[in-house]
Amino acid sequence: MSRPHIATASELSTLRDLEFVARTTVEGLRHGLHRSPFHGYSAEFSQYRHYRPGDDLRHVDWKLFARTDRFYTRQFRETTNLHALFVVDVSRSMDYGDKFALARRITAVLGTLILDQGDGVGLLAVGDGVRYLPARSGHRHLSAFLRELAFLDASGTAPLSTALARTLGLIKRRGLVIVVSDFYDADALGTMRRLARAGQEVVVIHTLSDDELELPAAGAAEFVDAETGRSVVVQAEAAAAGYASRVKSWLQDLQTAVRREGLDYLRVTTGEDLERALRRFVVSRAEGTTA
Amino acid sequence: MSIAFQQPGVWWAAAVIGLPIAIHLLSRARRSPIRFPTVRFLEPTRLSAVRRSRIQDWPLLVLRVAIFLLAVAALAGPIIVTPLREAAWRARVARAVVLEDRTAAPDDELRSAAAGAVFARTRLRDAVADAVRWLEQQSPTMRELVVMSAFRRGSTDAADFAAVPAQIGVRLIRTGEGSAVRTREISRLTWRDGRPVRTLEQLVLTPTSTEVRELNAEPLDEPPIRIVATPAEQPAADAALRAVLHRGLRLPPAGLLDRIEVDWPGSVDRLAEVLEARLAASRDSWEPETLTDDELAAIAREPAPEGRLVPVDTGDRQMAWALVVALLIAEGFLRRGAAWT
Repeated sequence: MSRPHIATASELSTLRDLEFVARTTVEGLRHGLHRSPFHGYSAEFSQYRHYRPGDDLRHVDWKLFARTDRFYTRQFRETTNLHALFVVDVSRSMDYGDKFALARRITAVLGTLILDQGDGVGLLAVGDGVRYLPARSGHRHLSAFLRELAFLDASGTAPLSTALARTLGLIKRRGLVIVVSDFYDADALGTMRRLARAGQEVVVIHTLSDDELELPAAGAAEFVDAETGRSVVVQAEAAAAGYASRVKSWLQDLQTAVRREGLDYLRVTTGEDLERALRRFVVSRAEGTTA
Repeated sequence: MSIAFQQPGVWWAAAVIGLPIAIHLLSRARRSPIRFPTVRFLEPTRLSAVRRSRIQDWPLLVLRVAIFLLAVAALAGPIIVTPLREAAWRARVARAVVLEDRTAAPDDELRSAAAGAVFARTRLRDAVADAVRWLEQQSPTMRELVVMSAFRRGSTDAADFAAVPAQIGVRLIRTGEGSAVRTREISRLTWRDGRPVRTLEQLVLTPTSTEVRELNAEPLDEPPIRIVATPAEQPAADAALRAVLHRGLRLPPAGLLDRIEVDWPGSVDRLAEVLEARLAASRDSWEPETLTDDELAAIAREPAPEGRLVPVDTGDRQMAWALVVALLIAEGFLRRGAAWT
């Protein structure tokens, strides 16, 4: 799926930056982390979780059902065969400030972390075209992964749900799907639900710019939607409170909906300390407390 | 059809004021729009003014420009020039009527001529000057000065009208004789008590009576008249002069100040005729008391059409303001519709 591409100076710079960030951040994350934060299905039992339609009935613990009258699915610690696919949103709404750079860094860090633990990572981005790097393991794959990541740019017109729908056809085996997006596509949640019901473990990484939480402008300003081109003229001071309230409500609704589906959710903003945010996330996953 | 303006300078003033405002607004309009991930959480503020940043409401812009231009035009005093109006303006005459006596009852002619401003001053030439100044400020096509007076000598003369611009017509209408009571002073040379005397009489003429009063009697050492004759005829000539003076000899009003000489004609009657003729010439030069019809005709002239046609406002300015108000109301409706987008 990947097309021939000659790296530009900025892409190479991005690549070096990603390698550096991934390496340093992953080292920091490993410190004190005794278990893999990403679980697969293997012989070593890890934990129970509530049964979801689509779960393999072989993993339902019938004895526990007999005791509690509830369905639980047994999860097992992945050892070698976890394949994680990063689905990165490259729609135009991601091209704002450092938001897309943040999405790239998160992908690079988590991808490196997964590769370092011996698992496989892949990458899918659907913009005007499709960029797909199948999941593979091994350190040699890391440079291909980071290179593919560095070449992405947020200029696509296709919504995130298109990429997620394509994921359904691309992944043949059960694995981990990590979706990195701002989630302005309302259809994305439905497609992630389908992925989860198809047996994929979906992790939602919600990246936002600080400006998206608090209106950045002052005075009279015209805002143009990066995706639709629609423009809205506002008096920033008058509109700020309403805007913040609506964004907060939307975030709560999204988070609730994601968690209701049993998906992991991490929100990171550009102003946050990335390492600290990821550490909290991977530790909680490793301890099995996020879902 | 065209449009003329009474105060075209207002357009320059509007440009001088409007230019910095336009620059200010345009510089504000240069604020580029902010590209934002999504505007779904933004609700438009009721602030139509900031929509200047990108001209989207062309109808609104056109309407506002029209309002501004109309308001400036209304200030400048617009006059719509149509062929019909032009004809009416060409037929119009601005008329200033000068009256010698404001209290005098206007006669029919005055009423017909008084379709204009009326000027009356104690001195007729002052009133004429006032009227000319007023006419110079008038804009219609033709201008006419109408003077209604008895035109007594001394009250006015041709010099007063020499300063009237050539295109202003002058019509002089004689009204009566001025005052109803007229006085005239008559100087006479008579012979009283063996010596010549110069007298001054006042003749008072009223509509019902005539009165003669002697104001002064001045005895003279010798008559101011010398009869030139041969030495043989000199005694007869002097006797003839005394005889003529006994009957009285009318002099000019100021009297006979210079000594005159007359050749002896040979008889008393002939001498009386010669002296009457000689003094009458100077006396007639004081008549008549008023300007003659010929003199008035020399002053009078028809008004000349102006080189350029100056339009007259007949309510166009009010119409322009009414349009401004109507467009402002329309703009309010349009703005309300455009505020929420």
